[in-house]
Amino acid sequence: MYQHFRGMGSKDASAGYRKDRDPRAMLFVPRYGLGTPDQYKNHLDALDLTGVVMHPYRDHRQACPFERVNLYSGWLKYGSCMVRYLPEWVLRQFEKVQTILRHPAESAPPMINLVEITHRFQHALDYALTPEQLGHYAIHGVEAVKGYIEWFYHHCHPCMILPDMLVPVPRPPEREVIDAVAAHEDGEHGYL
Amino acid sequence: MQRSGLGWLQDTSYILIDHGLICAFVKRWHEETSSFHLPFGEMTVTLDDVSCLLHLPIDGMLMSHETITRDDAVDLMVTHLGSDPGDALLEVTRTRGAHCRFRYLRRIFKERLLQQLELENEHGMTQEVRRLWDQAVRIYLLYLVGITLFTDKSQTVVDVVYLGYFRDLDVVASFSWGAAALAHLYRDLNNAAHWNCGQVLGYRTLLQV
Repeated sequence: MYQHFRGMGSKDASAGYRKDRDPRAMLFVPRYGLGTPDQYKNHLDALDLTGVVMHPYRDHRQACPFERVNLYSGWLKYGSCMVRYLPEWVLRQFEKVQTILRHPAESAPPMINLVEITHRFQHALDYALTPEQLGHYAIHGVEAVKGYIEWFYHHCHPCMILPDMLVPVPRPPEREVIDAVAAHEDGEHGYL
Repeated sequence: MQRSGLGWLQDTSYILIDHGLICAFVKRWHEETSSFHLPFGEMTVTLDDVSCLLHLPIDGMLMSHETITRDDAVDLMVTHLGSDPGDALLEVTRTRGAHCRFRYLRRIFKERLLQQLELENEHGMTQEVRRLWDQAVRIYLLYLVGITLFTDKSQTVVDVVYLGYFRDLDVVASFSWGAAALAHLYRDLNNAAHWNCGQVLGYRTLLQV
């Protein structure tokens, strides 16, 4: 969270962090940030893309190169428990333009057994997102295709909103890009 | 330690866990897609995050194990940690499962190191010394994953099943510890989201950074 969200708890760089080799987790000194869950909740509700760093590891690639296995899409398992891993839902975290998505059952079909999951992960590259699925490079890192945000609010988000809650109005996508560029120019992107 | 691919775990854990932050994010978690729903779309913890934040191996075999019995756990401890069968039996009985306590691991870790040191001073580097050294490394690794990646509710015991991955110390890094850690985190988020933010058990440091 500290990596992706500014203004949430600590941003302090640990003294003695060696940029070229230490894992990123060592960069931060945690401390109590905003306090209660409700304060965080309000913060999250008000969050827009200017407060987010989608891909914070650009200057960390020397220590930790990007592996294509990150783009594996399908099931992971832990013991006998299966969980979905679907990078196509968060393409912006991979520096791509976010697209409107297929149903999760397509990339992670529900009828699958644990042995098959092991097998698929062993051949993870065969199940990784293809360049076509990845789509276009996101120049500003926050772009989504036209209509994404409306789709998101209509198809995904309602599940999370209780009947008595106010439905927030999505911001137009162009606005997000303009704001992100402005934030970038203000030099707010750097941590160190 | 670095050879096992788990070495960095010694340095990457936070003592301070921000409950408020974790709780707020749990409420945004969506099981169907394993992602957080935020006002501008979705985000999640990816394998790339795990690898950059913790430098765990991502590529490799997916860990696959099923629950083991208490007898299996005793066997594993005796064979790979050099435990006394009586002690091992006591551990599984006390913890009522295929687990052993961190306290016990700390004790036998010291024992192995001392035994190894004594023997080495006496006879030099023998096969027996090497065996004791390997056992000490396994004890340490089991302890390390127990207090970091795979914490459980009690916070005092670790599942002996992971010992299976430390049998051959040369191949520890060929397992995708990152994918296992991530799957464990997702599972905990799924559970926590169901139970209205009771407790996220997994490796909370991973979520917090």
